[in-house]
Amino acid sequence: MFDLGAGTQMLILFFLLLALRLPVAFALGLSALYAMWTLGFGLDLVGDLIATGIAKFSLLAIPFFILAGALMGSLGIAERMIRFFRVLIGALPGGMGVVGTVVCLFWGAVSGSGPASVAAIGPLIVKGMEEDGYTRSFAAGLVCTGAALSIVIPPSIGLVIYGVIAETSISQLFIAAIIPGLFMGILMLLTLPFARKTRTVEGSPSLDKLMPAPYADLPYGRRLWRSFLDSFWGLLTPVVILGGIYTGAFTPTEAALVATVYALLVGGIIYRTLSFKGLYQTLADAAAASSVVMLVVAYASLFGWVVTVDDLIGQYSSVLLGVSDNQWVILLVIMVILLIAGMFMDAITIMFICLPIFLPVSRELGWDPVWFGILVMINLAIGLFTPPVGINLYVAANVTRLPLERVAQGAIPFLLTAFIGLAIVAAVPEMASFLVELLG
Amino acid sequence: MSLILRDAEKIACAIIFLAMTALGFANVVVRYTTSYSLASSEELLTNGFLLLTILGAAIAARTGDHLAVTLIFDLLPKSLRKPVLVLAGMLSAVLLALSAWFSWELVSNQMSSGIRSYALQIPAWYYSAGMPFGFALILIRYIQHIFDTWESLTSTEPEHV
Repeated sequence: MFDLGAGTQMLILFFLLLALRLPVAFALGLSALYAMWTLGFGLDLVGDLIATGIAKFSLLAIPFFILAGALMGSLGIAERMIRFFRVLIGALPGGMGVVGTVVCLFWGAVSGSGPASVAAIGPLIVKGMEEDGYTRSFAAGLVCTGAALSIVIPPSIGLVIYGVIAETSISQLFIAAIIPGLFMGILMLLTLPFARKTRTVEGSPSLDKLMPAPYADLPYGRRLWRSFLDSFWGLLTPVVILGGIYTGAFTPTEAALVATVYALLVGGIIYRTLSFKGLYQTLADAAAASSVVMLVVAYASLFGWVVTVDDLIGQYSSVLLGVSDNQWVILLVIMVILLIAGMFMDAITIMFICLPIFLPVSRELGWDPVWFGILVMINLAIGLFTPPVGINLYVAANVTRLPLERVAQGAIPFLLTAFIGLAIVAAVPEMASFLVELLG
Repeated sequence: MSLILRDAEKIACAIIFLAMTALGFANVVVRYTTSYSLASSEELLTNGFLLLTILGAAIAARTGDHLAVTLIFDLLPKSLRKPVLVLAGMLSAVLLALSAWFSWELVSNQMSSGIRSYALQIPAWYYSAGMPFGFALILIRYIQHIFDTWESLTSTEPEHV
């Protein structure tokens, strides 16, 4: 009765180790080594599995997208973009809410990771929104949500990993994610009119001190034109990245390399913000950030090997297929599992654990792997800001110095729009397939 | 000298990362302008990435940036936190030591079998040789981090007594 297979023992051990606050990567590796030891074979493959798990050309997109995003931040390219959007729409009543949303989405289109974006752009947006009459907790919730969507909006590290696991074209995934990602962002805007108080919060620290409004004395048209010129090269980044992939000129890895060199050139030649020390620090930071993701990938490849050898996939996916005859019920079950998992763990780990089980099911049911990938990513994004344990909520609580409950409160309206968005993207597969077919 | 000891992996990562960017970009330019593709550069890039990942993981280990689920730990009574920290630290150390050991075995297997890389036809162990030392470095950095965490737990204790 209690004769559990090595694979199932591994899963249980993994969760026990997580509870001890072992890093997720280590918990994956240790439980996989234990399972190999119980099975009596596989240990001699460990070195090779780790090396080949990391050294893949398609995964190279990850360090370079992270580096490009980090350079955009440290070279002041991102800040210029925020300034531009502030001048463009910030002066409208409640406009800072729109600015916050747009900047989050735009940032998602140049970087590709969630929690880091909250820390990078969160403080500026929250300050600006507060001055404009939104509550701080609502602003924090907006940043959590907008930053979470950056794992849906291309270039997305999550989609790179999905493409590798599902053996699906990463370029197609990127293109398919554009409309659903933007749609989710536009839905966020619907909450703004309900959230704004008419009176401005008195005594909140001024955004003008943190980030002086550029060319305040000029008329709107000229001010807009000037700040457009200032931020032109930064605004061009998504065009360079996505345009290259879109037209088929670059693979995602090549696009990431081009974006990195582009950021270096803009910072070095045009803005002259590139310094030796700054470059060194950014390179080291980006290397560490990429390694956090990649160490999970490395140890997950041991974990995945055991899952395959022990035929966990067969067992669990047939259980899942047996849940119902209705494919929508099965999809719902998958989404609930992803959502709950997303509240506790990072997107990368969840994909390595769950996708080997979900993908055969989705193939069996004849689902389009690209569409399914977009749904998985939206689900994992929602998990990032679902109370009580979404990671982004913690980062935002830290950045805004609000108690977690208040940030969670602010996130609830966006949770509502996100679920509506998810349901619509699930029901209308054309949202994902339209651009892919148009360009295919 | 102390700077080099303290920041060895940071310096190495910065150099490798920059070299990878230059090589990768050169490859894009060459492919785009001449329709030639450098297979050898792909091999260098992916293996540079391997080394970058393991050394970068040491940077992240020192600062405690590796993702972990803190929810349950934070719910523990204060008196249990230090024992759990030590247990988790020891388990992590076991994993990292085993990883260093198994990658050392990979290196020595590749040396004795004389296997060569697919594009440049150089001995394959040139690429994997950094792995055991890299994992050993992660181990050292992680233990340093555990000591830091221990001290921060100690310093916050009196407030709650």
